[in-house]
This record gives sequence, structure tokens and C-alpha cells, in this order.
Amino acid sequence: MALDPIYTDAVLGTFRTMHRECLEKNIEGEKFDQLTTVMERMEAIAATANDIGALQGTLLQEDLMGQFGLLYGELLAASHTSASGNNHGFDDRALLQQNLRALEDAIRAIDDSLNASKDNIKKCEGSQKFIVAKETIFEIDVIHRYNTIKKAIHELVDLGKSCENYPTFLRVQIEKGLDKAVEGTAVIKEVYEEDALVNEIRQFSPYHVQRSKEILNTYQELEKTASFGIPHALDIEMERYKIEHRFEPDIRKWDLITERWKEIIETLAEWAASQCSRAMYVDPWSLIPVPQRPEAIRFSKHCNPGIIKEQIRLFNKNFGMSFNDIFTHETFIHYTHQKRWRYSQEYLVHLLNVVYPLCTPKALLPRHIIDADQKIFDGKRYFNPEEQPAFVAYKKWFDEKYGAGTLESLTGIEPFSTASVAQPWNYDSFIQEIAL
Amino acid sequence: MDKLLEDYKAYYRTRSKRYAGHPHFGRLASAEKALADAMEHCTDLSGQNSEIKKLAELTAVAQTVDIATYRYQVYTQLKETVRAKGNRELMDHYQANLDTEPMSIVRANTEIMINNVKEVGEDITIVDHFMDLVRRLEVIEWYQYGEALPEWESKMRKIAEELRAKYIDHKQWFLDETRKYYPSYDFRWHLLWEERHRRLIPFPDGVIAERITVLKAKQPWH
Repeated sequence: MALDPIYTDAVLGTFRTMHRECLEKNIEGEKFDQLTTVMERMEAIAATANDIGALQGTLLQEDLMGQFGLLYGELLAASHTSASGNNHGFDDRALLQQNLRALEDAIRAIDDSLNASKDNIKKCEGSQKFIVAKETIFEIDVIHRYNTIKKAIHELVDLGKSCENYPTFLRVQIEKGLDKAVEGTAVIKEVYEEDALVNEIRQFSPYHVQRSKEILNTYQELEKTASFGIPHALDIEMERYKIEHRFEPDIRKWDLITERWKEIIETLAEWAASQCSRAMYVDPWSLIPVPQRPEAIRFSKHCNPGIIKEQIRLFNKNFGMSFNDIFTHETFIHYTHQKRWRYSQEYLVHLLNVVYPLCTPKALLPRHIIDADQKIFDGKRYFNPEEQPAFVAYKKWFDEKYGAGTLESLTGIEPFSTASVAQPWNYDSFIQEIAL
Repeated sequence: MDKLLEDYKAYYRTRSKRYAGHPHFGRLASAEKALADAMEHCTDLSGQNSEIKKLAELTAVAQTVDIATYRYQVYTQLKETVRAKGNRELMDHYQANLDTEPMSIVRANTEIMINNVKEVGEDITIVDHFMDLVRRLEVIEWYQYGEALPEWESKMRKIAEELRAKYIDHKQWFLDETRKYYPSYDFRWHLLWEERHRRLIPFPDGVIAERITVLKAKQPWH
């Protein structure tokens, strides 16, 4: 999916302004052609980038901002040399003023772009609460981040106004790291810090946590050794690339294995439910129009054991793991420690100890097992009684950052409530209880 | 003008410190130093044009070559051969034009890298297409091989038949859509064996080989 123009406009606004300025001045020649090529390249990347990280990353990786800056500086210098009529062929004051005007234009371009995006949010489909939540997040994330860049540009303009000449302006901005700040380095650090924090809170997997930590740590290490205290953009990008590259296979494998064993257990639970009196009123069938429900329920009842057998065969073929291996696998242990289950521990133990041994093709559950299953459901011991701790922590973080209720408004998730009286999950007791 | 000249010298000295000692920006550090040194000997800003401009251009050249070399080293080390290729091309271009037209690398940079971004985009697509289509094949297998009572087994086989038709349509849709961006794209399944792709597929070799055989067939079930 293409990136929202708010991001591309804000990132490229400065450069578009500078490029337009050259056009308006009728600057032409080889250098201007090169500048146009760099601009077109940045536009092409923006058009194909999927997220702000990819956009910033590619721009930095190809050093397009650096190339643009060099060419622009040369063009301006040439333009003022010829325009000033200065006998020395050099008009330093005009060069400085021109640069400051371009920076002020860039601030206006960012503001225009942010305002246009705010208007677009108002036109979004969804409830008033949803739109307010999107506006809040936009305000806190996007506007805050671009305010950081704008602040850096303002500082640069102020610096320029206080400098007696252009070279002093250029020198001090390097010494203070403002040249990098305008490119968004401070924003990148902030994004890495937040990414590490959110991954620690959400605990998708140990690899997600470790990956974001290493990226932040590496950035901090680069800061220590960087000249003028701010890492080189390409160092940041290359180090980040190496870390992400190292973690990608593990994360892909983790996610795929988790997805597949969850599917097997869901299909098993569906088979049990299809034979119980609750079937007509619970998902997945409650999502099907009433007239088609009985047939769909019968299909699950008669076909799921054959499907589960195939799912287990494929699981073994793909990952070399048996059904029993699932429950001691690191993905299962992590998932269970994180209490991500929809079901209670009691119900999953029942599924594994009682239902699974009977789940063979063409078989049905005997009446007393169906009754036992329904009894757990009716006794309100079917669902996990606890909200996932990681999600609770994430909501707390989200509420603190964006205001209470914003996450619910944005996602439509209802505040957690449960009538479940089941015992809380505990992996150690679970593994003792299952008889596989 | 003397004060201005001194301030320009100070600026170029500061510039030259940015990359001094950086392990991957040796050329640029040297070029910046040469520029700063030349500025030190400059006595009049109006007289700086030819030599200083030439040296300033060489910093742009050095920066482009250093970046390409840096990225080439990282990508080669990680066996990301397609990503490395564009940077190798830039380095080769630099070597070929070093004596005659060093600045041409700055112009060539954009074109080579745009082309390389396309190559990378096209190259990485094959893994996602493989994983998606294999998943579709697996679901077909549930219904094709799943055992049930005869009445239900026939219903399952009918679903498998419908899913096969969808699989074939989807495979073609992948090709059509991808070719909108990468006109020469094809399912070059043999590329999956290359390290950069193989590492992303968590299946044993035998499974991948078997799936590729099926994926290559136009009508795998007939």
C-alpha cells in the first residue's frame, strides 16, 4: 500500500521547495539536470515506499538528501555569482539569505502538507470517535515528529540570522548537528526508542524484543563515536539492515509455526463445539446467515477430524514437529506465558486430554463428552478469565500517550470484561495436566 | 573579504572532520581534506573557482564511491547479491571512468540505483509468492486428502476442486499484477535456492523441492 501523502509531503517538502525555487529562477544546465534527477528519484521512492521507515531508510541509504544538498548549494552559489554582479564573482550575503528563505519555505510546505492531511482525516469513513482518535494519534505522532524537524529548521533559520556570513552558518550547523537534525535524525532515534519500548511491552516474540533493542543500542553506540555526536545516516541504515537481516528468518519461522498450531487447535475446538448445543450461537457459525448455519455446523462435525489430520501431517512435514511437540515448543510456551489464549486452561486441557484422542476421521464425540464440553461452556469456565497482560500494558502505554479510550475508539475493541470464572492460566500446571 | 575567507576556511576544516577516521568513508575523508587544504592556501574567494570547484566535485565523487563500496561490502557479507549488484556496477563505473570523467559516477548513481531498486523489488517478490501459493496448496490438500464419511468426503473433494480453480486464477493474477511493476517478472522458482531467499523459508529442502515441482506445473492435478 502506498504511503499516506502526509509523510511523503513532509519528508520531501523541503526538497520540492528548493527544486521549485531553482525552476522559478530559470536555473538550468547540467547541475540542475542532476538535481532534477535526484528529485525524481526521491519522488519515485516516495511513490513506492510502504512505510515512513522504508521511505526515510531508502532516502538515507542512497544519500539522496546529501546529493541534493550538494547540488543545490552549487546551483545557488552559481546563481548568485552571476546575479550579484559582484566583481569578485561572489555574493555571500545573498547566498545566506537565499538559503534561509528556502528553509522558511520548507516550514510552510510542511505546515501546508500537515493541514491537508488533517483535512483528509476528517473525510475518513468511520464514527466520530474513530475520527477523533485518528486525529489524536496524528497530532501526537506525526505532528509531534514533524515539529521536531520543524524545530530543527527554525533553529537553523535562527542560527542563519545570527551568523554574520554563509560559511559560519554552514560550519556551526555541522558542529551543532543541525544539518542532521533537519534530515530527521532526532526523529529516527525517537522512533527507535519507542519501537524498543513497545516491543518490550507487547512481547510478540523474544526476537521482536531483541531486534528492536539491538537497533536502539547500536544507534546509541554509533552516537558515542560519531563526529559531532550524531551518527552518519548510512551507518544507521547499514547497522539497522544487518540486525533486521539477522532476525528476519527467526521471526518468520516463529510467526508461521505459531499460526499453524493455533489453526490446528482452533479446528479441534470447532469440531467439539459443532457437536454441542451452543453451535448455532457461537462463532464461526454465528457469523453465517441462519439458514446456512446447520449445514456449516454439520460440515465441521463430519469433516474437521480429516482436516485436522491433514493439518498435523503438513505441520510435521514443514517443521518436523508432531502434535505433541507443539506444547513444549518455545512458541507455545511464550504464547501461554503471555496468556494470549482465548480459551481457559481448563478448556484446553479438556480439548487435549479428552477431545483430541477421539478426533479421528469419520468419528463423532460420544454423548458424555459432548455434555462435559458443554458443561464447561455453560459453567463459564470456557474462556480465558484474564486479559492478556501484554495488551493491558500496551493499553496503559497507549492511554498515557494518546489519552484514555483512544485505542478503543481507534480499533473498536470493547473494554475487557468477562464472566469467566475459570482459573487463570499457568503454563507449569498446564504441562503437568496434559496427558499427551 | 579576509574575514569571509577565513570563515570559509574554518567551514571547510569543520567539513573535513565529519568523515575523518571513518572506516567506510576513507575516500571522502581524503577528498574533504584535500578541499580543506586547498582552501587554506586560497587567498581570494574570487580566485578559488576552478581548483576549489574541481575538488568539491571530487568530494561528491568520493562520497558516491564510498557509499557504494560500504553498501557493497555489507550486502556481499550478507549474501544479498542483488542488492550488492547495483553498488558493484557503480564501483565498476567509477573504475572505468576514473581517469577521464570521474564526475560521471554522480550522474550514473541515480540511474543505476533506480534500476537496482527495481531488481531488488522484483527479486524479493518470489518468496512471498511462494509462501502464499504453498499455503493455498496446503489448504487444497486438507480437502483433497481429508478422510470423512462418503457423503462428506465428496463435499470436501468438491471444495478442493473449487480451490484448485481459484489457485490457478490467483497464480495468474500474481503474474499479471506483478508485471505491472516489473514487466519481465516470472516465477523463477530456482531462485529460492539462493541463500538470500532460502533463509526466509522455514521448510526443509525436500518440501521446497516438492512444492516447486507442483508450482511449475500449469495443471498440477491433471
